Amino acid sequence: MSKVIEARGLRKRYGKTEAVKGIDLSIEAGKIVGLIGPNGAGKTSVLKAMLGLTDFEGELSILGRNPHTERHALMQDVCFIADVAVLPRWIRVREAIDYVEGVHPKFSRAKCEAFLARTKLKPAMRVREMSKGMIVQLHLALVMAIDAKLLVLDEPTLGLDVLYRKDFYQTLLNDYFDHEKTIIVTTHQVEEIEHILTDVLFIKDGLISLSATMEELGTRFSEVMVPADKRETALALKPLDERQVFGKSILLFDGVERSQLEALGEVRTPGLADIFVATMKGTYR
Amino acid sequence: MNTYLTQLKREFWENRGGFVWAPSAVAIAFFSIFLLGLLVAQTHIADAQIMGVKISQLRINVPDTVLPEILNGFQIFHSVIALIMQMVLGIVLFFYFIASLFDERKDRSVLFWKSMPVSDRDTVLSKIAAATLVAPLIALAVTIVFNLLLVLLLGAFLSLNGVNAWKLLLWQAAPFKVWLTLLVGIPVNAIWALPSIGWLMLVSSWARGKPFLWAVLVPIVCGVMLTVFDAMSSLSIPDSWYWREVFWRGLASVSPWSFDVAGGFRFGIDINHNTQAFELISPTSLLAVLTSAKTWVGAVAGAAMIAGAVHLRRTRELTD
Repeated sequence: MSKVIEARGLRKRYGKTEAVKGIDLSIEAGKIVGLIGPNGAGKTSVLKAMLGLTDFEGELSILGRNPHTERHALMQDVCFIADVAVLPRWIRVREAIDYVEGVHPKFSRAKCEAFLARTKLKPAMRVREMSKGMIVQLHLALVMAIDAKLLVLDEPTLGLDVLYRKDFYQTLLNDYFDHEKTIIVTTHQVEEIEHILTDVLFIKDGLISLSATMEELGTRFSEVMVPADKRETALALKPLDERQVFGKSILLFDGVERSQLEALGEVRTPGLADIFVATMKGTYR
Repeated sequence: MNTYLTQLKREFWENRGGFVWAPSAVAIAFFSIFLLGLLVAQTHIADAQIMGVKISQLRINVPDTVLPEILNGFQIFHSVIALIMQMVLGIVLFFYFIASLFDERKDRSVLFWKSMPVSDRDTVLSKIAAATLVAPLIALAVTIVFNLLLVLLLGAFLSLNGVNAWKLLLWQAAPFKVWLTLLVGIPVNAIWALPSIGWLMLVSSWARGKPFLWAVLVPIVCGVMLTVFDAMSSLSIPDSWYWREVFWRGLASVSPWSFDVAGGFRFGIDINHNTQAFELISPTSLLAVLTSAKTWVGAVAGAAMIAGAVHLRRTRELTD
């Protein structure tokens, strides 16, 4: 399978601060990749570079093209929702559909209208009359009706209520994704996307701190609830993180054999959010 | 081609207010004034006049010497209103260009536009085409409709008072020449306006805020500096040269017909006994512009600034 995204030594500087400090990446088709990192870690800079919205240093190729010099050609095969509610406020639903149909050769009006039929949006409605959730519904309907190879979503559900958020990811997974498409998504609501991801990339201080498939993550990381008397033995195995719950310790291990841990207590596969918190420790200090 | 048409439609949707309603408002205002005048005339029909000739006189016969005067009066009237509409169009276009590449960054919708397979060059060019072709064509259409409505209104008024002047009104008073000149003037005005288009779009694509102030203040400060340091007189160029050829041309040549028969910048309507309105909107002044070196030097400068605006739209980042 050919590479959708290939980056080598990707850097981005804003004045004196270096937001991205040399990232190597390689993403294949058919993946849903979560790009996860704390605020200011460089996620948005990486995505902007991929979408041709910013200049960068190093090598970066999206579907074999340089995004900064070939943005308009690249956008035939790449779609993005770079922020919530960026649709122009004056546009009407029918104008937005006419526009995308007019400029995008891979747009299907029928598909878009089918998606919109499930919402409360009407053709004559203007974006300025819509709620934030409705704007995202319109944007998603426009984007999903485009037969693109790569879809990039940067905080697509920021500020939406839980109903819209659930619906957003469900629609994306059921009606859009297939093995030839690739989706990259960033969000702070890690719990909501972890079940749809195939791969994760953790980004910290402008560097990739973890790159793994979800299965690898399940075998690598384990969480054990250890009673107080076994805590010392457990600490000797160098856990990443320790939490105290009702007098017991919950320890998170990276790369320790399950059989070894089962002697200490009940072993679980930790959630993505717990792994994230453990690996990002000390970021803001 | 399809992409290009869609881009023009998109500009039209966004700017319907300025492109259609602004000239229409002028037309409606003048039409109302004229209607009101005729209503007043109707109540005083005995001494009502059309361009200084009593209606009662028209009914009998119009002296040969007066008829050309009346028709001439009509042409002047139509031309003046056409010019006023062109000036309104100029104001609309000035603010259109200042907002053209700034508003999309301000409301972040540039992130949506840039997610579509349209190059920055095509985007900028389509915005220019919308303002220099679509908007003037709409203004011309509004002018024609307004002129015809006026002729109909006057014809109806005269028939009501027993004068059949339809033939005269439709064939000799209708300003065909003005319409044709306005049409031919569209591409000429577009070339003439290039330095202004380039400057306003460059500022619009560059400014992080207050594009209007930047667009106006930078040239003012430049002019004041030139005067203070007396830079121009050392080159034996008068200070007025900067204000006329750089300042006004660079800022206000988006206003259609802002040139004189010498191919220089002239702002506003200057009608006296020597120049009448339909002479200002005339093939002579169009030809003068096309053969003036000032026009083409400005066009080259404008094209360079437009290229700069394209570059800035491609590379300028949103500040988060």
